[in-house]
Amino acid sequence: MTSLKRMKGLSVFRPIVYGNVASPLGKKLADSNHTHRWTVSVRGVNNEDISYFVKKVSFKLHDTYDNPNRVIEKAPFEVTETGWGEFDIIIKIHFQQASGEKPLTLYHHLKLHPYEEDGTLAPLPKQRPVFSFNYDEIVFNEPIEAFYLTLQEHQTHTLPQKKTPNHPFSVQSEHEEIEKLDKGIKTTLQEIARYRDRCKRLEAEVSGK
Amino acid sequence: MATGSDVRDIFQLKPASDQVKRAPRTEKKPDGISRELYGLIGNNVSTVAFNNPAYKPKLNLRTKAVSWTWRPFVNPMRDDDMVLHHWQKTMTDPNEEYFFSRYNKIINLQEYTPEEYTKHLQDSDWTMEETAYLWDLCRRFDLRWVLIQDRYEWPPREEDAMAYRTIAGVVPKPESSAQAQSSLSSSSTDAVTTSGAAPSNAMDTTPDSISTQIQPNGATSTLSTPSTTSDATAIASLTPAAGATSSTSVATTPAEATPAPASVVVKKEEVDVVRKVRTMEDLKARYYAINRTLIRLRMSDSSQAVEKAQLLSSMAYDKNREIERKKNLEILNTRTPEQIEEEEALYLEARRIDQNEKKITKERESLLRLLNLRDMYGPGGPASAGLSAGGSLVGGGGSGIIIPSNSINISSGPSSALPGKGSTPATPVTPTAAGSAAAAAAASAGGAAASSNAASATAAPTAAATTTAGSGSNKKRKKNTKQTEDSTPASASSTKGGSSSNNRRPSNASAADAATATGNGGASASNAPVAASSPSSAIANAVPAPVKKEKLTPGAYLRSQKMTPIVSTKIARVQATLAQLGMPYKPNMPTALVMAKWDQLQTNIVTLLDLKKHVDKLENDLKVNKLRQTGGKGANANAGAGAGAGGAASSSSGTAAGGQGGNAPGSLGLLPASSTGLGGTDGDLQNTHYGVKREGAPDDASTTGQIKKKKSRKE
Repeated sequence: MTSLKRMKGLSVFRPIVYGNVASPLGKKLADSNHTHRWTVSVRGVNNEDISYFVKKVSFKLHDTYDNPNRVIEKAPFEVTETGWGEFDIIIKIHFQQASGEKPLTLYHHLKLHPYEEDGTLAPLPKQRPVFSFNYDEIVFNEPIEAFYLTLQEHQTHTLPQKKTPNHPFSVQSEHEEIEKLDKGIKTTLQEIARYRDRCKRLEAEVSGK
Repeated sequence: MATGSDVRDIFQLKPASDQVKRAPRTEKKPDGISRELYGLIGNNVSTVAFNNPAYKPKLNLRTKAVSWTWRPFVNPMRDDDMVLHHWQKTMTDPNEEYFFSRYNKIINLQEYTPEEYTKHLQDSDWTMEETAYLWDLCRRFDLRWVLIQDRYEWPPREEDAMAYRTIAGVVPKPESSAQAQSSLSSSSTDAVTTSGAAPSNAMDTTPDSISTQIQPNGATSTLSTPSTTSDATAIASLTPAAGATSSTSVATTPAEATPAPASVVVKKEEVDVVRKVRTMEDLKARYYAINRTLIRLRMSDSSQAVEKAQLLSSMAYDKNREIERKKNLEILNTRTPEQIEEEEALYLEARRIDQNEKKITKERESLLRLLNLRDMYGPGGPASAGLSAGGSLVGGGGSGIIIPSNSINISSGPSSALPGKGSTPATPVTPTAAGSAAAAAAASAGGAAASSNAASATAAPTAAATTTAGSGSNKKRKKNTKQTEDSTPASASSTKGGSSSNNRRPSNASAADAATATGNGGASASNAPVAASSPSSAIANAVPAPVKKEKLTPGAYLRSQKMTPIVSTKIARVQATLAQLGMPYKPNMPTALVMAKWDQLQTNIVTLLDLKKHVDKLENDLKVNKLRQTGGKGANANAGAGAGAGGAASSSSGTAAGGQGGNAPGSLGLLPASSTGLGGTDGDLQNTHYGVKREGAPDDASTTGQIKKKKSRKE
């Protein structure tokens, strides 16, 4: 084994995107009732190669699939299947040996059908592929030195500035979310202040009697 | 007489002819062993062959005997043309070279000239003479290093020198030897200076000292140009012969000292010099170092590069590594049988661990996953409620007292799962106990969270007696605990809570303290066993502190999964609030900044919810007060007032006030410090946190309720 010295006080993260894209099959397959073809994947935020820190990814599909535990050993880490129903896929990311990290488990709900968004009840076009992706960041706290160097060699791709319909993960959406959160924090703080006031009044009332 | 065949006839069986014939037991007697002995020992012939070979040569009279002759021969490997004789077949060629001479292998030792030495081979630790001596030994013992090391003695002992002298018949001149002695003692290690310092005695040429020793390669060492006599002597003293036989008299024959004007003989006398102890590694290192240098020098042709590299690699020698290797070998060889046994046992153990490693890691992983799940859902989850109150805190008077975890057992019965249920309606109020029940309700409202209210309230009637006893006297406690065993788990736990705190406190104050203690205990449901003493630290633990930036736990994780956990009972409400605020149930872009904000928002929401609850509770208190004022009995009015005061106090000092309120009628004047001591000074924020703490603390409700009951009865 190489040195297992950890970089004290250092935290490195690598953004990933995981999720699925699904499109309805034109016509049903001959011998099954499958309606959609979908691909579940784990990749870099700009679709870059993440195999420098990811050794393999295992996708645990629904038990009704043949060989439900699909292990993908090299990029692109994705599984394409057909099916008719949605289910939770357990995605397990195994890191490169040098990292010394245990595998990470994420859950993704396979999405095949578009949800009606924005309350508009207009039926969505059926034939359009459905995207369901999640952004996340894998954080390596105090990575092992050797692994840290590998991480440093592959500088992380920066988030795109603007979001696009097919790529919602961007600096812009981060800002939007932060704004939203700030608003939420502000509202809650106001509420807290209001309740505190009320609290004081009530206390005064109780002790006054 | 009936034979076998008759019997067969009678039974009409087939004749015995095709019966299996018994195998002949005639194992052949081996030769060379007597029949009698064989009969005794049977087939157990000894493994050692004791029989003589059966070969008998036949007399061949037809062929003529080979004739042998006594012939002289010269062994070409000898340098002295000595003629020896031996028998040989007459038919062989008499001029044939001596057969066995081919086995006299002479090693191909790289020789160096003195110029080469002075230019390239200098070593601060080695003199030229000593190197030459080493070379000679190498040649003599064919690089058998063990021998070389064994014989190595530099400078040679006097006895050896004497022995040589007597053998060689060399008698050194006394005066020259004395001079040599002085010169050698002055600089015994430096050959050049030695010879330079004493050129006069070095010039002593004695014809009889010309050595007869074997000097096959002596010429090479005396190749130096004898520009000066002193030079010549230096060289002469360097000849391998010096080391080979003795250093007392080194003789260079005129032929050997090629252009030397005269044969130079250096006579040296042994001196008491501190002998250097050369280890085998020293010798080898020197030998290989010289060889490497020589190879580099002589094979400068690029055409020989491959050969050179090969030779160099064959001459590679790492002295330190070799020493280390031998040391390790030594250690390995000097192990005691016990050590060997132990090592073997350890090895087996290591193998076993290796084999089980996979299994263990798998188990560990699943355990970790379990723990992670717990983290995600918060420690207050139904399964872990009992565990979560691992450590608790009493903030009374600012001194921290840890209550054992078993003292706080949150009843996980169905009744406790009713959130937000008012305590008053749940309590079976009897006319006599009306006041106390109300007091209990007030206290529980002050001390316990809504979810546990129901449990504590229902438990109150049964727990009433037990807890009072528990806080009252030690004698009754056992009995009461037995009683409570048949009662609801909530009451049992409350008894425990009361008694365990009783161990640490004077009985009078214990009820209030128990209330606060358990209140705090329930509050520290953040799963962190905390032993801090100040109320503020209790608060910090009550609401799980956000993960501190500077404290990094090594390992990989997903940013979105590292949210500050929320108590499971609140998850639904927090998420509902999030939805109200128009937030998704989890962050879309879990970057570091977003997660920090998210945490902040969640903490805010938790605070807000607690505040709301607190307001609800206060409103409840008010309502109860109004009720009591209108319909309370005289005797209970006192308690009610106490409860009211308790409620009022609780509004400023949190849980402590809950207990205090219960005690109020009797000890309000006596224990004013404990309510303030519990640190209501921190104001509103703290209140909200105490509100959190109150969750799952049925004990204080019941305890205080019972005390009130007792007191009200007294009154």
